[in-house]
Amino acid sequence: MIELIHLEKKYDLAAPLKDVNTVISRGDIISVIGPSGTGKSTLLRCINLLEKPTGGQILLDGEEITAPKYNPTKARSRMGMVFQSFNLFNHLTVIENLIIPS
Amino acid sequence: MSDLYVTEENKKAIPLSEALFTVEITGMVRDEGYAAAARPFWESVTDSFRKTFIVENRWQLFLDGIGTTLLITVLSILFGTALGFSVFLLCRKGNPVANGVTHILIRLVTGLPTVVLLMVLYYVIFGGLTVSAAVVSVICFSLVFGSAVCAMVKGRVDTVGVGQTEAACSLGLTDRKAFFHVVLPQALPYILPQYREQISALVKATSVVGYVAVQDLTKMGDIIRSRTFEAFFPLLVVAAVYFLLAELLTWLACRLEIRMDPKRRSKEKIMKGVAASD
Ligand SMILES: Nc1ncnc2c1ncn2[C@@H]1O[C@H](COP(=O)(O)OP(=O)(O)OP(=O)(O)O)[C@@H](O)[C@H]1O
Ligand SMILES: [Mg+2]
Repeated sequence: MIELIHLEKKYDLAAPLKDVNTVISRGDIISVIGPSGTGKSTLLRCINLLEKPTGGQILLDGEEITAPKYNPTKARSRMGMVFQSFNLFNHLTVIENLIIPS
Repeated sequence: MSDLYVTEENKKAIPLSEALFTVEITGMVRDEGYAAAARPFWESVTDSFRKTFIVENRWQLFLDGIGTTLLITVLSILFGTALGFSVFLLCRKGNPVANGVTHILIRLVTGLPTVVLLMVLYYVIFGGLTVSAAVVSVICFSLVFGSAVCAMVKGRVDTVGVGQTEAACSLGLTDRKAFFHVVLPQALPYILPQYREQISALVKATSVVGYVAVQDLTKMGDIIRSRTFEAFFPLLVVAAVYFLLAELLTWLACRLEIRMDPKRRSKEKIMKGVAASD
């Protein structure tokens, strides 16, 4: 279960996420839709902790992963993410791209 | 010892004793009309060969010189690689000030002619200490090689897109693992050919250590030349040996390159998975 509470992400020139609140339960299939540049990628990158949210909280199964002392690797190893630009590992074989990081 | 002239300036710099022994200096000018006494070609060649290699066991000087050159080169490659790579790793997440200082130092090392750097190290930085010239040479060339290694690793690693690190991290690899298992392996195939070139350049660059009285291959060639007044064989040997040394070391680096190619891993290794392999 992923909970977003008052999630906020501001850049110098843009504030793509303002007070985002939602609960995503196990088994849910969610689409985030919106025009280009509205913050869909930013939202996913925040959930994955590739970006540090500037405000609010993210809970993963009740545990706050945005807490300062939280180890991002722990959350990430339980998530899968497909990037907009794919980022396949060129130096590895297909099977390795599939089984990494096992 | 080289010539020491008693001048007013020298007297101020070092306390000189009374002159105990004086040497006369003689100048020689070649007679334009003189032609070497005609000798059969073959005889002059064998004579020159004998003087260069056999007399006083001079071939041993060459061997010593080769040993010194090889030792300085190999040690500099090892220390330089370790140094350059460590500095790169430290700078990767280092603080901006420390990185700035390191960057300036690297610019300094690469910006000076190697001979000048060598003499600065020997006469100024280690001038007051009793450090052997060979050690200073190894330090000097480790610095030179290390700077090159650091710069080429950084340059190549930077070309691997940041998306690769992000993708690796998003799969739960730690930053360190992402670097060693995803980023570095993709940069290595481009780093190694450059590394090979650097090795070859280093072998040749060490030929200046004679400036601080290290008796390397070039210096031994000089010594023999000054004794025999024959340039052909000493220079031929020196040139051939440098060429062969460079070829040998590059060949070794090539072997390394082939072993590290990610496309040549065995099936078992591949199936073990990426992060499991350490
Ligand atoms: N690293 C960054 N620094 C500054 N601004 C950024 C950064 N990343 C994204 N932005 C800004 O945040 C806003 C949202 O970007 P985001 O990439 O999340 O949009 P998106 O909804 O994924 O768009 P698209 O549909 O084109 O993928 C944009 O205005 C973008 O300019
Ligand atoms: Mg996007």
